[in-house]
Amino acid sequence: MTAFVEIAMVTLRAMLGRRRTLLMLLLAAIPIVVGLLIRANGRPGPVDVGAVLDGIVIRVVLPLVALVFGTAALGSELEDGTAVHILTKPIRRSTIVLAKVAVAGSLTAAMLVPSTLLAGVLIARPGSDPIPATTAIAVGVLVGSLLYAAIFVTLSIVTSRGLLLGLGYALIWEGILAGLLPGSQVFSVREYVRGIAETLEPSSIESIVGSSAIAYAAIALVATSVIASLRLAVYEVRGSD
Amino acid sequence: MSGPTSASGVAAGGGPAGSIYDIGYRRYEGTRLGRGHAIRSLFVHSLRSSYGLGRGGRAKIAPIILGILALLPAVAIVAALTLFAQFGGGSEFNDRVPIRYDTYAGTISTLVVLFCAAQAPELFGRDQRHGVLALYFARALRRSDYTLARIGGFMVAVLILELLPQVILFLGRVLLTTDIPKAIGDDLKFVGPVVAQSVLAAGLFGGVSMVVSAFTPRRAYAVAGIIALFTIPNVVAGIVVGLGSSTIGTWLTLVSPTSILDGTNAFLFDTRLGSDFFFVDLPGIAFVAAAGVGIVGSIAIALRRFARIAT
Amino acid sequence: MTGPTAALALDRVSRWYGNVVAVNDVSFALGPGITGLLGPNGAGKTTILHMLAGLLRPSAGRVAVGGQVAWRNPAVYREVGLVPEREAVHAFLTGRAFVEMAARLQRLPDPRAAAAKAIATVDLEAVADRAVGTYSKGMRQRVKIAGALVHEPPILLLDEPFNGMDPRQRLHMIGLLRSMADAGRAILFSSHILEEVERLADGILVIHAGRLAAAGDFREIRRLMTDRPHTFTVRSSDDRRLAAAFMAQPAVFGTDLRDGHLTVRVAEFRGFTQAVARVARGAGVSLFEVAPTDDSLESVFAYLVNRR
Repeated sequence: MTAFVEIAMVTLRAMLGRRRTLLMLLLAAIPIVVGLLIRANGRPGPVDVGAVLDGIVIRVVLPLVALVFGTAALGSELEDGTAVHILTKPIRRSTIVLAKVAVAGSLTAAMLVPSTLLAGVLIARPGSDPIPATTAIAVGVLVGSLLYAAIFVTLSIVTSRGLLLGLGYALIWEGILAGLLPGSQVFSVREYVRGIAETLEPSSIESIVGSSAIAYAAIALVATSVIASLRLAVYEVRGSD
Repeated sequence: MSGPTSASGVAAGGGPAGSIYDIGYRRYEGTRLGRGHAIRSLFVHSLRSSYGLGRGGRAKIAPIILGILALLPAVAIVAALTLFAQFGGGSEFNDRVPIRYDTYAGTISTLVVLFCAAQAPELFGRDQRHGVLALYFARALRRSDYTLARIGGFMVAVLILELLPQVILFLGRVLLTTDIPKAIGDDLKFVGPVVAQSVLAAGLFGGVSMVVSAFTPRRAYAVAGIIALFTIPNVVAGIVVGLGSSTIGTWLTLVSPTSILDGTNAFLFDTRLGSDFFFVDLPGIAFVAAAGVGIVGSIAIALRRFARIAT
Repeated sequence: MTGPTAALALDRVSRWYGNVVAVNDVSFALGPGITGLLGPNGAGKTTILHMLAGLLRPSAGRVAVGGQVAWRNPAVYREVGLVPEREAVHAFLTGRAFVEMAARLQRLPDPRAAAAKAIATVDLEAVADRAVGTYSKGMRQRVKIAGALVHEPPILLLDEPFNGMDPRQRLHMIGLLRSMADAGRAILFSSHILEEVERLADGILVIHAGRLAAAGDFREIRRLMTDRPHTFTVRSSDDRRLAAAFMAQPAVFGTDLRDGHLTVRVAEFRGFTQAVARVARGAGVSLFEVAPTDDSLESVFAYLVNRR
């Protein structure tokens, strides 16, 4: 277990480089900015806070922040050669993967959950009670952070173009395809997030998968971690010669 | 010691002849193609790189796939119309298909955004990552030439992405009928708006993505930045405007690239913006002006960036 | 060179990438001591080292480290330390933090003490508490070596370890590696700089275009190259007369007279060294200097590499 902690700590420090942290905080602040804009707008906010949070957080900010942290956690180390020092130690590959996913996911969640909560309160129409819906969505966002992180970490091991593939997944699969082929969204993290929120607070948001989202998310988390660990075990470091 | 001798190997005096040539370092004294050629070459190179040409196979995957996906709706519509025609349906469907000249840009906007996010970081990012700017600037090329050539090449690449599907659509519709001159005449009125919209879209999408890519050599940040700039303002604008018209809402639509292009599209094709979502009481020309500002502004920012960058 | 328990062994190992063969049917077995892996850039040295380090799968053959297969075997890293060529260490870590992290990931009982010891061994105490990002190239090399040594592995792999070191650091490193080898470790290091290998290695492995061109002590290898005459440089009181006397000897292929010295090409090394004094005395010439000109690793290497 100390190996897990050790790797997690180094990854955490590597993630929190000044520029990256600043940019991600900026992104995570956008829902709050939207809330402030709505307040400053002079018009009462929407009754359906869930729809707004869905549009901003679940569809855009969550995948983006998770993408940056997820691909940086292991992918950047594999690219610049720093990963060799971790790979040549007697640690299980699964430990490495889990540590990376945990850090990327936790960082994403640490930024986005407070942002979601605050934004929900700001957005809501005064007099309405946004707390149950906002909390439900925040929990969904928490799970989504971990799951997106797991997917993007896995992608960055499997391919050197993990960033683009992850983007393609978020924008094309979860975006365009969702409109054309609703059934495909059984494999969509976005839907799981909505499903979890819906299960906790049915009025907050609508989802296709409903409460099965919890099971799907768990399966997806385990599956991606297994794939990532297996792939890391056969990862080859070529060198320039 | 240098210079050619007579090929026959016979000297003027009549005996056998030979020479030893000095093949050490020599200056190049021939023609130099100059600045214009350099700019053109860099422009063409940027255009080709945007589609992965001239680089390895892996670089072609993303742009080719996105290109095909962008063409897909056009091909599908032409195929569908052909089928209708086969089954005796006339051209009554022609104007009721969901994907037409005026809706096409909106349909593929996500793909164009992805294309920009995938390719723009390569154009400016790679040069900065590998420190070759000093090499570029040591040539006849000026800093502004470099910036404009690269941006220009990319904008044309995006223009192709926007226009080619429309051309296919046009060809399909025209060739489907037996009365070709009439069909051309019918669709001619769309040519202007299609081209104008594509130019504005290429300029805005291309310009903004290149500006982001100019500021960071790291691909992850450039990609995330481009995606963020093209998706977030749009969503925010939509939310605020959806609550009812307001000054903030109006300003937001003028600041979001995708909203601006929706506005110009509606203006050029003279259609009411699809849903009440965008019920902003702005003259359509305001969107065109906003697009112009966006394009010129991004070019200006990029120029400034490379004028001052340390190599 | 081969010990009873081969610490590092390649058995008919090849590695290819599509149509390109990076390592071509290489076999060797190494025991304690220092071996230099010598070859031009692109010869396959890093590929071999990475296969030994379990970072690459061999396309054919078997790679064994300390008796175990290296690939997909994280446990082997208790016995091996790798110092990779690329400089990459997280720039924000201090040298000490990096070595301590390595110690903790090796599950050592007292990571702090082990790290301190390793840092002292590479003589990095003065800068150990500065961020690695501020280190010079040589310091970064040494901190990587400290990280590879911290768990005191019996086997050490170093990829171009002297890159970027100034002469003083290089001397220190040579002394360090020497003492570790004398203590019983098996050390394999790669280099394309002949002087380093000549000075440090007990034995060499010469790699060229993926093939193992020669293995063993380089002087012995030279002796074995009988189809190439040995060359000696001789200075004497009367070079021309001595040259004539040499030409009368059957084992001498030829002589060259240059300013101030004489070059002799002979078929066989030992015979000539025994005969030269006799021949000189017979000709009445005093010898001032007799030196083999191509007994260096450089000429051995050039010969091996240029043969093809």
